[in-house]
Amino acid sequence: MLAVLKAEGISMIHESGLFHKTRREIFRNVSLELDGGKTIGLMGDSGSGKTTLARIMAGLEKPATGRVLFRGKDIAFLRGKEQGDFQRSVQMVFQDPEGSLNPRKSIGRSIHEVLGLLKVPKREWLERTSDILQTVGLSEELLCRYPGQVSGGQNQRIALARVLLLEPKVMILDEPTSALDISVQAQVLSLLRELQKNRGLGYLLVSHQPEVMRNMAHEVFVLNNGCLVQSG
Amino acid sequence: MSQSLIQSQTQKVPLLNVSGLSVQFETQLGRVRAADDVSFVLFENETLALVGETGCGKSVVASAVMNLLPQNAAVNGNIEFEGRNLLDLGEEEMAKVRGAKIAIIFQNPSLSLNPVITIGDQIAEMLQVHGKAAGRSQSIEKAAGVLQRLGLGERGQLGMYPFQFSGGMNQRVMIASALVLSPKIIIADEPTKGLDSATAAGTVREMEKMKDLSGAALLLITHDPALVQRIADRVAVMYCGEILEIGPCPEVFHEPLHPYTRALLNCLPERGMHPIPGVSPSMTNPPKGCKFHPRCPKRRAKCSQSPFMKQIKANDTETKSNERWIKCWLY
Repeated sequence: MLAVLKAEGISMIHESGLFHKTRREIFRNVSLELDGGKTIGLMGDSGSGKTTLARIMAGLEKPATGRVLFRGKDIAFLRGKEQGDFQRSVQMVFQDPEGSLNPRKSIGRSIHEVLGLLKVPKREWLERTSDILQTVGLSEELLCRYPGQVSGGQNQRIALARVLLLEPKVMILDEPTSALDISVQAQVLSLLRELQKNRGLGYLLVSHQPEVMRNMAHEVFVLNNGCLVQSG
Repeated sequence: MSQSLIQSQTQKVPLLNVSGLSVQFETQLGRVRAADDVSFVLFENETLALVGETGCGKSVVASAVMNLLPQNAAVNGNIEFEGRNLLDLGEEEMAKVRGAKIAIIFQNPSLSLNPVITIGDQIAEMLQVHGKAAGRSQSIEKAAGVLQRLGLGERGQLGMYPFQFSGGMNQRVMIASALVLSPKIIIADEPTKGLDSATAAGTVREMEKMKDLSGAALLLITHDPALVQRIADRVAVMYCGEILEIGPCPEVFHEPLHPYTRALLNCLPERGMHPIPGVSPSMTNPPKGCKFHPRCPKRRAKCSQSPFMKQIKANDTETKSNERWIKCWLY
């Protein structure tokens, strides 16, 4: 069976300078396979390219060489229905929960925006919204508040709720809890574990905490000096 | 409580004595009780960690000690330092205490430094303002000396600006400016927040070095239990503006007594990441009685009344100390 998301020999080069171009290789020849029901952990020092690799996997950046395959097809050449399918199935959750929500939209509007894009009939909006809020463990009274008026952990759960509405197959989690307290981190990570069990989601989890990896990941890779090393 | 605490530890000299500190803010949503009857003693040469979740009032306690709270704060209680109540001091006198006797290292080092003044001048400014150096060149020389001990401070680096430094280097600059006047107390407010793991580990090493260099007492404010375990002597656990448990660091981590401390430590990835049930209470309308009781697995009818701080006597005084204080009806 084809993997949902697969990276084949990708490398990334960073170019800087206007007249004297300097090229710096961030990583080379990296291959990864991401499937439902499994968590792949990605670790590395700061600046080792973890986030860049995650963004390439999510289709937000283009690799210098190599390709990313979604169900066997290169994501660079996806068009029409297949492209829409990829964009729904592969979702990314970012490090800074407040930065990933529009500060001038109430939380209710942020969630309704996704329902509008999914062309869900308006009469189902209320029901779908309360369902998804229950899934992520938030109360409905938050709907009329703005991202600045709720806590970091609540914002991260709202970001998760928006992503979950799209019913993704794999999620790319870029340090989803590094900006949060340990108590909130435990809430968010155990919610992610539960969702994986119930919905068979696959995760690419980027984190620098070894203890988190031990608890969450089935397989851990480390980016070291531009190479991807499997560490168990 | 503080009096008896002092007596139980006659060998230690109390430096800062906070008793019955409460801080309230009037806001549009109502009155926020950011700190509620907070009492603790900071002894000479010790590191006391104030631990708790975001928004539990840790930083408010630090700002109250430094007299840096905004105008709309209503502060009550006593903060005794060198025989004076810091809350009674005027701005002019307080300015002499700040930096010279009690220094603070704020979170987010890159934002706490002035972006248009060089590193050397920023540290030297402390010496000039407090009249500890004759002129600019002498103060810069002293600043270079402190920076050198922290592994910075080559001639060229003194003329650099904060944006030319990394987060970890800026943190060292902050530590240097706290150390330069050899204060008696250093308050570190979330020194590792927002730093990646490698830089955070480096900062912890710098903090350890700072403790050795200065001999000052350290009030460490953090939500990072790993940092606490590494450098703190005693730990005070805060929840919703109150201190619920104080005790020697290894004992609290090894055998937490308060149900909240236990729940908080169970959130750690190495202890299985069990989230605390329920949600954090609102600070404007906190639960009556023990503030943790709606979420507490061991709650009883009595928990709707406010508990008071109690000393826990150890049965086995060889392995345990008599320095544990708990605010819970279970004990």
